[in-house]
Amino acid sequence: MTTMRCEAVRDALPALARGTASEAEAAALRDHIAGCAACAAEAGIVDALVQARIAERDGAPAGLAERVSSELERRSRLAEARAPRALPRAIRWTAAAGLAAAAMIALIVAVPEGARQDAAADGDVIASATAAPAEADPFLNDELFGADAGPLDAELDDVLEGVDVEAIAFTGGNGALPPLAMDIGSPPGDWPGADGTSAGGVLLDELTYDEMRLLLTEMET
Amino acid sequence: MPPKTSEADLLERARAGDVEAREDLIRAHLDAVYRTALRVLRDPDAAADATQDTFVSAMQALGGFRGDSSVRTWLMRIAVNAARSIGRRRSRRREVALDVAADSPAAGDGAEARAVAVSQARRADAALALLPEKQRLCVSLRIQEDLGYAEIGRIVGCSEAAARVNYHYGLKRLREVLGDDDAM
Repeated sequence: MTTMRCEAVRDALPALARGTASEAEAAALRDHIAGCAACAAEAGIVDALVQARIAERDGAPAGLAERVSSELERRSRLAEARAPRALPRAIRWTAAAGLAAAAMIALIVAVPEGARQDAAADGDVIASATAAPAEADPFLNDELFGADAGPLDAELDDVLEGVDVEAIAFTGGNGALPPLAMDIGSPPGDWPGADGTSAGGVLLDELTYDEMRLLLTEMET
Repeated sequence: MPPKTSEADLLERARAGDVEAREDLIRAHLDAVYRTALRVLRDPDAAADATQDTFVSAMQALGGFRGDSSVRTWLMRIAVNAARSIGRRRSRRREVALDVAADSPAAGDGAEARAVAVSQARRADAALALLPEKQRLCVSLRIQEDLGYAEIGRIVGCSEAAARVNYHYGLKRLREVLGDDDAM
């Protein structure tokens, strides 16, 4: 056995097993191992683990690179869809009016059924917005930006896929734009281009709960 | 051999949104990231998920990568975190089916010797899977990925000295599990 210390020998065993040690170093290591049972045992284990790595060829499974690229592409598209857009002032005013309408819907949805029936009897507009259960709301979920964001992102994707946010939120669904000086509180039915069904009516009827929340996010960014 | 594209160049292009550069980075480090995740999780499907999470996180953080370590080390560090995160969410612990203390076949020549080597390699790998996570990672990264202790420490999230200690403790436990007299 050489004068090499066991600790130094054991540190160098991976290089010996992988064949990356120099000839001189390898000779010194083998010399030590021949006379040291403990280091020989460890050398056997290290060698077996290197062989396991070679034998298994445990690289990434086929298709994983494509899967990763596809996911990155999907997220990239999602990020683009969610990126704040520089909107003309007129459109922002219209969106604000839409938000005001959305807030009204939220109030209506929150009102007890009996009260809504009373209101309907009085001729008030009843929104057809679909209220989603709170636990499915991606905007209220703490894990939106965490490692569990996948299903929630998918949910957001679904919302984006079926919705032309600008078309619905900013034109009232019929392409009508309000005048630049429109007050937030002005009824959408007063907008130029609004026909028998007012732009506001279309907005109220067509926006789902999730779309409203999406619109809210758009306005916040 | 094609002209070498430096990693710095790849990074710069990927940061600028070059999809091809991003794909090159993924291809270059996919196996190492996957194996690292697999060492933590010991489940191929979960390791694939962790690999995907790793690259998603890395590409989002690419602009903040300062180059204090190699890209490979940085990605493997993210892979460890991603795998740990998935591991925490998974309550089940995969049982190692192989009885690592089973009889070891006798050594021989030719095909028999190869069979013995394969058997020993499997036993060693199965025993490795039984180690605590830090020891397992330190042993695997040192022996199977040929990394130094400083780099291992950065990946695992400990000091260089701790990486060395974990490595030696891991091997000591492997010797106990596999038996010194097997001499592999």
